[in-house]
Amino acid sequence: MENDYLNDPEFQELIRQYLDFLVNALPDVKANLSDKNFLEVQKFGHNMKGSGGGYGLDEFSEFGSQIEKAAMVQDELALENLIVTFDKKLAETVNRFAVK
Amino acid sequence: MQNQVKILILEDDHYFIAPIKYHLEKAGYIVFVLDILENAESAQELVFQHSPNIILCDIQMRPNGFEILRTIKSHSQLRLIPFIFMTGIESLPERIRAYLGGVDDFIIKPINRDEMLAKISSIMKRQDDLEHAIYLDPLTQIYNRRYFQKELMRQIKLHHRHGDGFTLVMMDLDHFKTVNDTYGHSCGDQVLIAFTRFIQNNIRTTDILSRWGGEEFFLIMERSEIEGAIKTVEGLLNNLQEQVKVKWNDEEISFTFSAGIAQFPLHGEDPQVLIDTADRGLYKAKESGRCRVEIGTPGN
Repeated sequence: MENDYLNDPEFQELIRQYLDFLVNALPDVKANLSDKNFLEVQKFGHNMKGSGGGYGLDEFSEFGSQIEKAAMVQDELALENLIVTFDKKLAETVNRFAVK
Repeated sequence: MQNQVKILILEDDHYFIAPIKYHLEKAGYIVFVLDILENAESAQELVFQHSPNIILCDIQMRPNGFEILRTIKSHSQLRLIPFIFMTGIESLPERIRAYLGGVDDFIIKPINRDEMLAKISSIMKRQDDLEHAIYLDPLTQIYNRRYFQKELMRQIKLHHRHGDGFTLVMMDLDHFKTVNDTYGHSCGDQVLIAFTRFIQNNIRTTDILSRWGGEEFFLIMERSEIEGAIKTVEGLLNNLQEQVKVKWNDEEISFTFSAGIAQFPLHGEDPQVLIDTADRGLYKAKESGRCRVEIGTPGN
C-alpha cells in the first residue's frame, strides 16, 4: 500500500511535531543511560516502537524495539551504539521534513 | 443503522495517537480522544456520554486497559460496543486474558494504517448487522422496543449530567383493527410502514421513533418542552390525514392516530412512570374522540 499521506502538508506537520518531541527527548534518554536508569530508556524505546510506524517512520519503530530490548537486558554498550546511530537518523529525518 | 461512525480512543501517549487520529478522520470517522482518566469508572462514564460505536484502548495506560475493559463490559448498555486493544504486547497469556474479558480484537503497535482501517471497517460492518438484528423492527425498519428502552434510560442519564429534558410521545393508530379486519393484515402492514415513514420524514434527526408493539409507537423528542412537542404532534396529525394515503386494490386508505405526551422531568424521572403517563394521555385522547394529542397525568 502507498503511504500517500506522507505528502499531505497536514500530516507532514504532525511528523515535524513528533520529530521535535524526539529531538527534545533524546538528551534525557542519554542522561538516563549515563545514570543507568534503564527502565526510563526502556520506556522511551517502547513508546517509539509503538509510535514511529504511525508516522510512516518504520525505522524509528525498529530503533525503538532494539532500544527497548537492549534496555531490558541492561546492555549499555549496545544502547550507546543504538542511540548514536539513532541520533544521526533523527537529524537526517528532521532535515528531510524541514519546511523548505 | 450507523450514520457517521464515532470512535473513542483511550490512550495517554499524544505522539502515538496523533497519526492514528489523522488516519481515522481522513477515513471519515468522528474521533474522540480521552488521554486523562481518573480511574476505570470515570472511563465508563465518559464512554456512556460519548456513546461511541467503537472503542480503541491502550493496554499500558493509567488506569490499566484491562480495568477499563472490565468496567465497560460490565455495563449492560455499553457491553455491545466493540472494544479493541491497541498494544505492543504480544504475549499469548495477555491476549487470552483480553479475549476472555470481552475484547473484540487487537491492533498491534506500530500500527499499520491500512490494516487498522480494514479491521475497523470489518468490525463496524459486523456490528451494523448485529444492531440491525437486535434493535430494528423488521417490518417498519424503525427502532424496536428494546432500543427504545435503552434510549429512554440513556436520555434520563444524560439529563442528570446536562440537565436537558425531553418529551415522550406515545402514538397509536386509530381503528387499526378495522383496517386489518376489512382489508387484511398485509394492508395493515402497509399502513404501519406508511405511518412510520411519514413520521420519520417529519421529525428532527435527533428525535427517536420506535415501535412499541402492534400499532403503538413511541417518539422521544430530545431537548424539547411540552408546548413545542404538542405543536409538533398536532402538525403531524393534520398533515398525516392530508398527505398520506395507502393504495390498496382500488381504494385509497387514509388513517389517523392519537397521542399521549409525558415530559421528563416534569412528569417523573422513572422510565415506567413516564411511559404510564404518556399512556394515560393516549387513553384520554382516544376517549376524547381520537385523532388528537393529550398530556398525560402522572399517578393512578
